[in-house]
Amino acid sequence: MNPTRAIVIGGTSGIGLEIVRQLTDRGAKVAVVGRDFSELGEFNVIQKLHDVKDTDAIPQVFLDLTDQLGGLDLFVYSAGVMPLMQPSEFDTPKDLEIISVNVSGAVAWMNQAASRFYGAQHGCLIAIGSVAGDRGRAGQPVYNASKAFVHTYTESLRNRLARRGVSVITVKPGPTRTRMTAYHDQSKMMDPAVAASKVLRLIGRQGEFYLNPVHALVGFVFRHIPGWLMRRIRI
Amino acid sequence: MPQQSQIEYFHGFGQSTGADAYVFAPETPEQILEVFELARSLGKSVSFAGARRSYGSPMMTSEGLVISLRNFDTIGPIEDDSVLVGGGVTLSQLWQAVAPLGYWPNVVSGTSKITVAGAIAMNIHGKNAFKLGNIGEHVSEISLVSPAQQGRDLDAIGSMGLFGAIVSARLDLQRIESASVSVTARAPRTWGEHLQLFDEFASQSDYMVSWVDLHHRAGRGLFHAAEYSNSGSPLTARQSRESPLFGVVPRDQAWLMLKALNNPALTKGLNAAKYLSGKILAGNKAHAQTLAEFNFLLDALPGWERAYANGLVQFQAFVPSERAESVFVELQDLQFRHRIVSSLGVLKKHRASPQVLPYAVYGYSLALDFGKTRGLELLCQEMAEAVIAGGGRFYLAKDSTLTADQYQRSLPDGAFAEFRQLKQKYDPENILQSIQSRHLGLT
Ligand SMILES: Cc1cc2nc3c(=O)[nH]c(=O)nc-3n(C[C@H](O)[C@H](O)[C@H](O)COP(=O)(O)OP(=O)(O)OC[C@H]3O[C@@H](n4cnc5c(N)ncnc54)[C@H](O)[C@@H]3O)c2cc1C
Repeated sequence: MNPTRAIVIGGTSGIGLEIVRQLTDRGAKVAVVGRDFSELGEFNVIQKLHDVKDTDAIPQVFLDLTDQLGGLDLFVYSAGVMPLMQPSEFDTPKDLEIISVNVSGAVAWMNQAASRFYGAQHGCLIAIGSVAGDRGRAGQPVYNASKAFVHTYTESLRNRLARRGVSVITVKPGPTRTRMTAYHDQSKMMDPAVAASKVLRLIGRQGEFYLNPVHALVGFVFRHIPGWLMRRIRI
Repeated sequence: MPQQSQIEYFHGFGQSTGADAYVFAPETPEQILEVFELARSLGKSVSFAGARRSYGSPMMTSEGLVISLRNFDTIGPIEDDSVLVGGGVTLSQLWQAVAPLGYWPNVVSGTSKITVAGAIAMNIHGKNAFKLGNIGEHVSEISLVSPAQQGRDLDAIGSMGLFGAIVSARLDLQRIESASVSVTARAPRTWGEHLQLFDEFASQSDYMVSWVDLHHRAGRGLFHAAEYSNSGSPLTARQSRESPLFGVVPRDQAWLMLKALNNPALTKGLNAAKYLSGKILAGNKAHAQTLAEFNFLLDALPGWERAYANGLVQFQAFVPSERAESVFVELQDLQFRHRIVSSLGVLKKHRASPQVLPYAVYGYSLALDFGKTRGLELLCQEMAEAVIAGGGRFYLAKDSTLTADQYQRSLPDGAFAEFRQLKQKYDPENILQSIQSRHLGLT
């Protein structure tokens, strides 16, 4: 499937921005939803300034965008936050901010796309999860949990929508060289353009995908590390 | 979008253009008006969909609101040889209700799966068009719900959903003594012979149709004429063929087999085989068929259109008698020149029938089926020029390739202006639109 009309939430930076770039290169009509368009540059896309925390506005924004696009083939939810977190930090406002972007915003947006695709019986929905959602690690309790939510939620959507001919893809990128990871050593991280092209190659398929075989292997091992060991090692 | 709508993917019978739209299924005329109101507030357009059996896109509007009248499905009692039916009733439901009482709809199309509203909105014709004209001549009353007014109105005949919702209509019926027709077959060898047979049989027949082998230069084929018979099948609602094809293939899966067989060399071979077998069968003796079998031949293989992998395009030209043969030959030449030859050609005889944006003429129509391929659109546009030059017209139920300019040039003088006037009367805000009406410059 070659998507001709796409909405990318969080398409103003990171993997989302690269997805937008590559889709427009292929000639797709793209609507980009985000909070800050400064990185977007000279792109012929529909720009919609919107904060995903404003869930009440979403149904109308979705309707306007699908109208302007003249339909919808691909929906990508790529908005996500991961604030820097100290090992001893238990900061509820910060945690709730993560939940509102990574979880509530995701649900509010993907429900719109899912309900449309359910009726239309065609389309592809991509959610950016993370290897970080595979286990609850010491460093990022709520970020990890928010991505685990995305995985399980989109698995359910897949089970609802696959039988309607709709493709639902959960992507689990590993560390990627974006703003989100700027305060870590980025030298060994995946380039966001590479991540985006791998993501776009998945269109039309069903399931959860890692973006490189090492991540898949690490993910597999990771998911099987017993709890007692998780409490002792530093990862 | 309000709760009662659901987004759906639409395509016409030819499966070539598709779009998503919000579908509403109102239950009362007031609810239809509410959808118009909603469209106004959202700045969207509205179109009506029946059974979506038109080949192109007259029943859909991309990202707009589509109204289905499937809930308007009542069939009233027969009074004075006519019956009041809801716009959402299908021809199949209609004939099954009236045949046991000794009646048959005056005009039916080659498939019974269409709705009464869709039939009136397109002003369909049957194999008896030479005799009874189009369905509009047998409709005595229409109740129409338009953005600007509501009431009884016959202007909706042939209005393609652009004037308002056809909520119900009163249709005249024929009395029949049996559910059979007596069919005579002939095997014309040339285009000229086809047309002669139509003229020869016109006075004594109730129905006439001819199949043409386009792969054959001279235009050989098979001609069928049928008359109502007063003996034969009893008047029942069961006349359809549900037995497996050749005793083994379930009929609703036969298209899979057709798909496997569908390639140019084979269609050529099948056309030849059909001609030869028909020629052998076409003795002078008439054979009996039920009305449903004779009229709805294509319904016997549900889903046959899916045999065309990339979708199906039909090109139907209506040409005045004097020019018919030469134009049809020219259409065939063009197909040979483009190396895209129709897999099925069907000829019918017509007479003019009044409606806004008329398509029927005193003459003949040739309907050509094509599997969608590269270069087909160009071929169709060149064929359209030949038809226009011959004084011919087009039927929008079958169209998906005409340009706005071609369509408008094909119309008789004044027809477009008259359409505009009526549009202004029923829908001055231009709420009712379809992908096709926009493409052809009607809305
Ligand atoms: C196999 C096959 C054979 C055919 N043979 C013939 C034939 O022999 N003769 C012939 O004339 N045609 C024939 N047709 C074409 C078909 O009869 C017409 O396209 C018919 O209009 C389809 O009716 P529908 O209910 O499917 O309506 P749709 O295709 O859904 O809609 C047709 C038009 O009607 C309008 N409409 C639908 N409902 C309403 C409503 N309630 N109020 C106002 N407008 C409405 C739509 O907006 C649209 O413009 C054939 C089609 C097929 C697929």
